[in-house]
Amino acid sequence: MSPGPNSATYYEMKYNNKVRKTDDVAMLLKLIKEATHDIGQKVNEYDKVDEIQRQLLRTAKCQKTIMRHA
Amino acid sequence: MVFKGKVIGMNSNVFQLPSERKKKSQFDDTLEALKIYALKEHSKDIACLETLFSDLELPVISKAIKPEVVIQTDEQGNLFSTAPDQVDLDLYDKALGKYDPKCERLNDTLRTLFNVAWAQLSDLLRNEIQQ
Repeated sequence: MSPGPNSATYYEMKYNNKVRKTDDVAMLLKLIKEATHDIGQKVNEYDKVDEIQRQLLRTAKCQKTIMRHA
Repeated sequence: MVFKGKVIGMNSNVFQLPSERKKKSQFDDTLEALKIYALKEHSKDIACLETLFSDLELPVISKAIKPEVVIQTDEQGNLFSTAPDQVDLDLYDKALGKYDPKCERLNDTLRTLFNVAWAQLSDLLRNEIQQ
């Protein structure tokens, strides 16, 4: 008996504009990993930008202090 | 209500979106739980499943290599052939007989693990994956 359209083994996965009919557990785990790590990576990137901004601000403050004492 | 998934053997380990989950290591923890589930329920396939859990790649069962006739040269430069050892041939026959049932059992196991993983996905994550 073939699995029905609502069963987990026959669902259609749309990813990267491709429709995948799969029961490939490795592919499913990869998709889960990507979906669950995506935002975390973005947060890390935002953290990096924040850190650079903080460093620039610190440098600017130092320059201001140096100029004041010059 | 806390989402615990639908498979009792997974001990409430689930896959959720970062916005839903409490622990950052949830993916690794649930993958570990899935591995333990496979170890308990499908222990015969666990050696083959290592690549699935370590590299997220589908496991492949390699076929047994048939012992061939070996052609060699003696001290005078004459060619002679050595027939494969009968024990090796018997072992090859046994391995060949086990190959198909092994593949079928592994396919069943992979299908089960797919359904278990799917049952542990939160609705939001399912939507995310299906988009």
